[in-house]
This record gives sequence, structure tokens and C-alpha cells, in this order.
Amino acid sequence: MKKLRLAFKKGEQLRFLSHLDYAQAVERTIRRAGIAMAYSEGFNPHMKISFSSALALGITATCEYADLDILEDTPVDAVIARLNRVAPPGLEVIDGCEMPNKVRKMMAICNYAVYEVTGPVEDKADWKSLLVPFNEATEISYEKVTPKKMRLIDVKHFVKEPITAAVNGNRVTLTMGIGIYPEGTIKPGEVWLLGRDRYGWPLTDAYTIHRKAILVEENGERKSPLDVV
Amino acid sequence: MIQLDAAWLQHVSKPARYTGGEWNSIVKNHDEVDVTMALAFPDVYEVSMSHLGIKILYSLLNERADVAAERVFAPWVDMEEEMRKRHIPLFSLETKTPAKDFDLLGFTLQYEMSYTNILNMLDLAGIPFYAKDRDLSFPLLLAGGPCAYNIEPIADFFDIVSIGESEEWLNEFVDLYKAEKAAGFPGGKEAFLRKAALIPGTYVPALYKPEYTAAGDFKGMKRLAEEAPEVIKKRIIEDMEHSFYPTKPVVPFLDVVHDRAVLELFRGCTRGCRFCQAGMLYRPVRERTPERLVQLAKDIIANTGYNEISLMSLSSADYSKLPELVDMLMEEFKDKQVSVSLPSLRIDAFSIDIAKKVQQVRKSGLTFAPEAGSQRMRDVINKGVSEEDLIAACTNAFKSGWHTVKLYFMMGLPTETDEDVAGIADLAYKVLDLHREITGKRNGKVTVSVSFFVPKSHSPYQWYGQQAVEEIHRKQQYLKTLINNRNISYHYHDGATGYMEAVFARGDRRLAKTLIEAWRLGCKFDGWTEYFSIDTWLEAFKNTGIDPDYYARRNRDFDEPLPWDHLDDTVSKNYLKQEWERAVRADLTRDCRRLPCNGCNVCPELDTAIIDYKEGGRVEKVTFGI
Repeated sequence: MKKLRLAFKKGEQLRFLSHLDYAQAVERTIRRAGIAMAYSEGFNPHMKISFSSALALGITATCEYADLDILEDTPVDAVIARLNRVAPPGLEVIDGCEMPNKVRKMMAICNYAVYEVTGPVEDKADWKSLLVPFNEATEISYEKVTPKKMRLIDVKHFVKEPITAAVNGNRVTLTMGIGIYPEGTIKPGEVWLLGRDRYGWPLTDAYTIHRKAILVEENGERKSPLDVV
Repeated sequence: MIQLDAAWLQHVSKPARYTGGEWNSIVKNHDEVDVTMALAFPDVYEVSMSHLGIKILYSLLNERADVAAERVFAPWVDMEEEMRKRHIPLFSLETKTPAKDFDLLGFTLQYEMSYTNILNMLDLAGIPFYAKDRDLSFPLLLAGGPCAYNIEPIADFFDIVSIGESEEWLNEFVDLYKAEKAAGFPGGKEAFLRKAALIPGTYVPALYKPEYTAAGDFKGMKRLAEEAPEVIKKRIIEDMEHSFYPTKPVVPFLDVVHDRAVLELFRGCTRGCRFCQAGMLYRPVRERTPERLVQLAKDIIANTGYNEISLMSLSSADYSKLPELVDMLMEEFKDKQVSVSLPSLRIDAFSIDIAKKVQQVRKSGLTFAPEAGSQRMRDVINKGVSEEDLIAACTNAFKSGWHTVKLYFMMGLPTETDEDVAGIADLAYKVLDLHREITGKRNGKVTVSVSFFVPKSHSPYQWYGQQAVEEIHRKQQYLKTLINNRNISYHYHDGATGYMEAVFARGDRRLAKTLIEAWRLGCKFDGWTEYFSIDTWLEAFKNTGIDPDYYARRNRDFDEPLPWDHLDDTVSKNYLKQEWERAVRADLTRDCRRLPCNGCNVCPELDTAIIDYKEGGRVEKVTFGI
């Protein structure tokens, strides 16, 4: 048995898949490719595959990582080629590597994500100065509402780096790095709306989200999950 | 091409219902084909994608280089609201082409309560309801499926109706359409419809005019063109073994109702249950060989990545080679984590042995359909199942580790008394007691599910006046008083839905205006409890001056002309009459699959035969001396 770590693209065509739908699409692609996978024991055997995050419905991603336990002794490149032959449009394996058999679960180590949030801008704006108050604030308290409860968080605890803006015609893309910690995180859409409501960013609630990267931050250094051993 | 902006689409429920792009979906350039067809199912994605008929026709048409076939389903109410707000017309999943821009738009008619959704979809598409209001700048509207056998209430909306199994018919029709389209439709739409009527199995509603007596009863159909046959005889696929079967079905991203590989073992069922319309419509029984089925299963699994195969038929446990097939499939897939499931079980110990094989690890619940509570009632409907059969099946099941049994019944069957209703409770208690007796445990669970019987056209009960909704509600409550055990759960359906279904199952063309009125008042998704509103429906009947009881509740005379007499499933009316008489006497009719012919007329009329691979099974044609 060996463990492969693969980087999958979740493209525009798969934007509206929930994490479970997406995981199922990946599993079915693996089955079509005829890759001999390891399965869990028990009444209802499950394919041994684990993802780096649960990517929400509505979000596309440059790469989403998954660890696969495979039973066959095939080089990574060959596995990738077989998968890409039978992957639905929007799903593509873009990279991968072999991992030692014992690795920490990616869900536990991936703690930093970079998002691009894009939407129409209401008028001409000088984004450089618009972003300053947010970027220079040391603390921004925010009431995070979940279906179950409401709690007060400090946005800057999660969004430590300056947000940048790129304008393209009448649309703007805000790039934001967000920490994912055991105590929680903030959604990129929440940052977008917070900026609109509290900092006067000329935005609407029409926006789309793309996750550009998910990384492992350790000792002040950020690495791709493929480079963590 | 319709553009869907993710910025708003992400706010509707399950947007992936509308975006297509699934594995095995087929996108063709419309400029490179001769004919485009949208296959429409009048329900939401998850239901539509579970339907085998669409899978077959989609693949069959797309095999042709000259045809592009795409899927069009009903948007859920939140999406419909967005579409109307944004002026987005009904569109196809593959190329997001407006439904209106296809050459052909074909609806499958699976259940009557989907009719308002058809109107709603046409409205969203910007297509006039009535066929007479559409010239050739609109797509031709096609219909098929079981409800096509009595399409009369919605016949005025359709141009072309396929009667029977349509795999061969559709190819013939598309060939004609392609040729006529290339020639620029000489003679216009009417000339085309007349030519189409000459293809066997084609019903062109515009070529028939219903006539009524002074009293307002249906008198008969007047043919308006020479090309229109007196009766339209159903088409069947005689040779199932070599017929087309899709091995590259579209694999949905969403969890649909039946999200697994489907293997169709055979068509037809000759058990002869008298309430069952499908048992009449799909005759005769025609099986595929296990070798062919295993090959199909291998291909489907390889092409889809599914990990479950469902063995489908009207009564899968009747497949003559079922044990062999199950063994072959288990052998084929033993190391591939593919499980086999049997959706319909017969009530006998043998079926349990098969179920044991396919559910070696997980013992999910077992479902049986005794249909009626008393032996007399079961004989009336020719169910051919006894209490001993049920007890034997359950004994086997409980000994083998099952603890949950679901029992399906119907209420409102002809000749039914309170005693028959009470029999349902008796049976449930007997099964529960049996569980305790065998296992010594008190964790047995019995679920009793009772539906309201709807008499259907083309069945021996087509003359029977449905029982009043109030009477059904009384019986439902009566049964409730008899079930007082927390290990028995009792479910029943709202009677009003069954009542409306009964109106449209045996209606005539005068109902078209009522349907439009109901839609106008807001009826849609009537098959979904949360959207069905009987008050709105009754208002629509009132506004259009039609009495629903005339269609649902009236006992019809045997010699009364019926609005569906010209739509012929080839079972003779005499046979149905004879079956009705036997029903009233609680006489059984044998299964002709392996026993002598009962004379229903199907095989000689279609010059075909039952195909059954059991040793000594019947494979030669039957001929009658007349």
C-alpha cells in the first residue's frame, strides 16, 4: 500500500458542488480510472481518501488536496494521467507526490488559505486608500453569526495580512489571506460584507469566491501540503 | 445560450441542478447536427435523473451523429422565481439552449400529478400551451410514457404522442423529421403531422375530434384525416436481448433519488394484479439473458464509477435466472466494492434467500407489498399471495438477522369492507409477534404504509368509481384506532391527491381547461405534499364548470365508449371485463408466464411471445384460432 497526495483543481463547472458532492465526484473518478484503492473495514466500507478541507458550495479552488491510500504500485504520474482521462470537466489532477505512510491529517495542518473574492463595484473608487483603514486596524471586532449562536471575534486575528484589490473594468477582485485555527476562522464572504458595511467599500452582495491556495503555516513559513513531509 | 451568473445562482437551493457538465453528459454543436431534441421530465432534477426511460432515449439519440439530445427539467420553485425575475427562459442542461429553440421537445408522462409542471415549464419556455396555437417556428411537442395511454386530458397540448416503448419508434420519427426538415416541410405542419401519423405507434391528437352526447358523455373519436388510424396500437421492443441499452449513463453530481447503476432485467409482468396498469401496459414478459446483463453491468460500472447496481423490473424477483444472475454479479464484482440491490421483492422465502446474498453485510429494511389486509381482498385484486407466504418470508428474514419490515397496502379497493381494512392491522401484529417469537427480542419494527387506490385506464378496474375521499379518511382513522403499538408505525397518504389523480387518470379532453385554470391559480409540483392544494384544485374545477366526481367517482358502464379506447395496449377489453367479473367473485387468474395462456390478446395481436429463460419456459409464439 502507498499513500499519494494529489492536488485537484475544482473548476468553474464544479463550483456548485458541496464538499460531499465533490468528494463523491472524486471517488467516482478514481473508480472509473480503475485505481485499486484501500477501503475501510466494517459494515459499510469507505474508500480511504481524506481531503485538506471541506470546500463549501459556491467556491472554486486552484487546488484542493487529497491523500489516497492505494493498493497498486503505480508511479504518481501514471495515476494522475489515468485520473485525468476520466475526470469530469472542471476536475483535474494538477500535481501529486508520494507520501510516507504515516502523515498527519491535512485537515489538521492546513491552516492558511488565500481567497479571491470578485464582484461588481458600484462606482469608481480609489481602492488603495479605501483599504487602508481595514489593513491598518489592529483589532476589528465582528459578530459572527452561525445557525446555532452568535459570538464576538477579532477579524484581524484571522486576516493578518493586508487585503489587496485588483480592478478589472467594473469588477474588483479582493485577495485576502485567512487563517484557519482550532478556535475558528472567518469566511471570505463575511470579510467582503464587513468591508462594505463598516468601511464603505462600494460593493454589493453579488460576489463569487475562488480559493487560490491552501497552505501549511509553520514557524513563520508557508508551504504547500505537497512540500510538507 | 443562457448565461447563469454564479453571483445569484449560488443563492438558490442546490444550484448544481441547473449547471450540467456531469460525467457522460453529451454536448454537441447544434450547427453540426440535423435534429435537436430536448428530453423533458416535469419534475425536479433529483427525480428526473432517476428515470430509466430518459437515460435510454438520451443515449440512443446521442449515438446518432445527426442528432443532439439534451435534458430539460423543472426548476425548483426558488429557481423558477429567479428565472422569471431575470427573464431567463427554460433551458437545457447541456448547452443552456432555450427549450424553445429545439426542433423537438419531448415530455415523459410518468404520473398525472406532474401535468401542471408541464404547463409551468411550457410557460417558462415561452411556448403556447395548445398545439393549434403553435406553428413550426416552435418545437414540436412530443409525449410518451405510461400516461400517454390516456393522454386525453392534455392531448390538446401535444403534437405527437408515442404509444408504447419508443426506442425504435423514436428513430423512425427522427428520420422522418430530418427528411422533412431538409425539404423545408412541404405542406407545413399539418402535412408533417399526417405523415407522422403513418408511423405505427404514433398518435396525433389534432387528427381526432372527440364527440359527446347531448347529455355530455363521451361518444367516440372522429378521425379528421385518412392517415389517422382508428386505433393506435402500442409499439414494443420484441428482442430485449439485442436492444439498445445505455452503458454510459450521465452520472449526476448531486445525490439523486436513485443514484446507482440500473440494470433492466426484463420488461412486462404477467402476475396479473388487477389494480396494476403497468402489468397490462408492458405485456408480454421479455427477458434478457444473465450473460448479456453481466456484460452490461461491467460496462456501466466501468463507465460510471458507481458502486451499486440495482436490478430493475416491474417484479425483479420473477426474473427466471435471478439466482444465477446474482451469483454471476457477485463473482464479477467481488473485489471491486460493488454491491447489488433488489428494489422489489416477492413475498416468499426464496426472495429472502436472494436478499441474503445481496445484503451480506448490511441488513437494511425489507419491503413487502401484500397490497391488501385480508385474503379475500388479495384474491379480489389477484395478488396471488397468502398470509402463509408472508409469514414464511418474514420467518426466513428474522432468522437471518433482519429486524425491520415495511408493508405496503392500498385502501379503497373494489368490494372493500372494514373487515378488510382491519386485516391490515392484523397482519402487522402477526409479523411483529413473529419477530418476537423467533428472535426472543422486542426490537422488531413494522412499518405499515397505506395508499389510496386510484383506478387506472387499461386495467380491469377502469370502470370502477373511486371511493369518496371522506370514506378513505374514515377508513384511515379506523385503521389508526386498531394500531396501538410503538413498534408499528403507520403512514397514510392524503386522500385528496389520489382523488385528483383519479380524475386525470381517466379523463377526457374537456379537462384541459381545468388544468390550465389550476396552473393559473398556482398549482404546480402537485406530487409534492407541501405544494399540493386541494382547495385550489376544487376552485379550478368550479371556475371551469367541471365536476371532478364525474371522472373519479362514477361507475362506468361496460359498453360505454371510453376516452382512451383508441389508445391500444392490445389487451382486449373483453379480457379486462372478464377480469373485473372474476375480481368480484374473488377468483384468481394464473400467471401466464409459465402456465397456459389466459387470452389477454397481447401476444397474437403483436405477433410476439413471452421470452422467459427458465428451463421449459415459454419462448415460442402463441397463436389463437379466432
